[in-house]
Amino acid sequence: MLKVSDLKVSYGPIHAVKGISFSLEKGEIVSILGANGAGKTSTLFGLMGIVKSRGLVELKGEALKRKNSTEPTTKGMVLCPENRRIFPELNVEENLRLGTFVRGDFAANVQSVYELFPILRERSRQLAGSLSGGEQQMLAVGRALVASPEVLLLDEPSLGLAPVIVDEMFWVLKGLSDKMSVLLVEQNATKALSISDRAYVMQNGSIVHSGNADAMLKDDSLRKAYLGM
Amino acid sequence: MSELLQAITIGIPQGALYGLMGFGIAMIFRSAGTLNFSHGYSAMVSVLITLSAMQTFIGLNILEGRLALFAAIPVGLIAGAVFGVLIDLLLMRRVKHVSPASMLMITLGLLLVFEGAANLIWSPDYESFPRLLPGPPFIFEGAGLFEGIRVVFRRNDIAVMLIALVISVSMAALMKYTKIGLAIRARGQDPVGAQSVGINTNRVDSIVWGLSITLAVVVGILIAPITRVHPTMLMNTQLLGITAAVLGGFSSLFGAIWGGLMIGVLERLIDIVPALDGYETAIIFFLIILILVFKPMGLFAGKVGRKA
Repeated sequence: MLKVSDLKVSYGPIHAVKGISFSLEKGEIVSILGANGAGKTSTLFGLMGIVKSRGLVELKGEALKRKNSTEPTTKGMVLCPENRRIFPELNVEENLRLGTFVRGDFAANVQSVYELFPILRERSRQLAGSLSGGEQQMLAVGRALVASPEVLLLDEPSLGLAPVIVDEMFWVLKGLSDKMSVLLVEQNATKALSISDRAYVMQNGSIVHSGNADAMLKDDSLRKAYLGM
Repeated sequence: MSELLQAITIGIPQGALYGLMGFGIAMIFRSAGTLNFSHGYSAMVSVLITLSAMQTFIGLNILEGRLALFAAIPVGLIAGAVFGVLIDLLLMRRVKHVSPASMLMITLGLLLVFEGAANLIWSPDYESFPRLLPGPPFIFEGAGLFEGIRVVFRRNDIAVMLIALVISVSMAALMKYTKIGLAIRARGQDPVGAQSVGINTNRVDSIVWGLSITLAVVVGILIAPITRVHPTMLMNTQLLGITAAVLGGFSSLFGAIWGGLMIGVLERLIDIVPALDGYETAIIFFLIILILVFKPMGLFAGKVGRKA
């Protein structure tokens, strides 16, 4: 589904992502784990063309140019960014409508988003900035889902959420793999591994470990070395 | 009483122009992320182009009189749009992710470039510019209960108000109901969010620059019969436009229009008191400082603050 070879992202002299390669198969949930500053978000921004990157990114066998985010989004790779990045002065429905800016049938898909997150239906006329943190995260995920992604890139969906909301969010995310492939970037390694098929561990812009998610959960030395658990 | 009504009837069209100027400035500020100090000056050059086009049409005997004016106006509007897009493509795109200070300095530099170009290519002289709606004013004489009240409506002011109203309503519709309008608002509220839904934010910025300066050219063409055409013709309008945007709170685009109307009417009301003559601008700025002390987000700031 998604094949990345030798992806590099630099900000001037700083090399945030130093030539990483990984893949995502159809229907898989794959996590990229690692500490703050490991290059996880830069990797996603590079894939989406939000920052300049070098290397080959193939979506369904087709190389992406990544000049801007319009091309990857149109072709089915959709980002749900870190810190929600919803539009605070637009209402919930307008936010969701914008999710279908280049892709997806709003009228058809918004209903399934409302079924996943019923609170969004109740709040559909409310300004997004007035929602609670958890509701804003649901809106951010919903905004990505209305575009009917084939590959969903999720950046830190658990950031700043209460534990009970995190559980709910991960339960929803696990269910998504029926319809799409998910690349999940998380600091909450235990949670991420519990719903993932495979995982990559990043450190200082490189992938330092990869493997089966269940095996990684059980590998004490790995957890202590890279994941701080 | 007559004086008061007269101040309001002259102040509203004047204020509407400040408001439209402020609307464009606020739109660039919110979306493209800089305060454009060259806003009125790029419009001024476009008005000069309009005037030259009109004179050329007349000189070559292609069109005459008012037809020449109406044919020249689109030339000026297109010039404004081209200036806006070029400023974004050639200058802003290179620096916008790097340095807000550089963007600000570029707009200040452009102010001088446009003013210099106007002096060089045209001249520093004042040239007259035709009104859209010439002719004698309408005079309203009160009768009965309103005996003794006399208000003069200048014809051109009516044209100004109608055009300002039509533009405001169409801008509101554009922002609320069209895809590009939503994209402009989204880009201003969260650039990363906008990119996440596939909006090409660079293209949105070019559109915003082009649209805003075209609006400023409309203001320039409407105000030119009063200020006449010269390199600093829009200096005052730009200053009060920025003020209108600040007063409205940069977070609400249409706040700028209300802010502009308030300033326009206030200016004329201060005029009524002979002792204050000449101090209009000083008094307006003093009041604005007061307002900002008590309402720092502007009078019409959005209900929700920005969240990180």
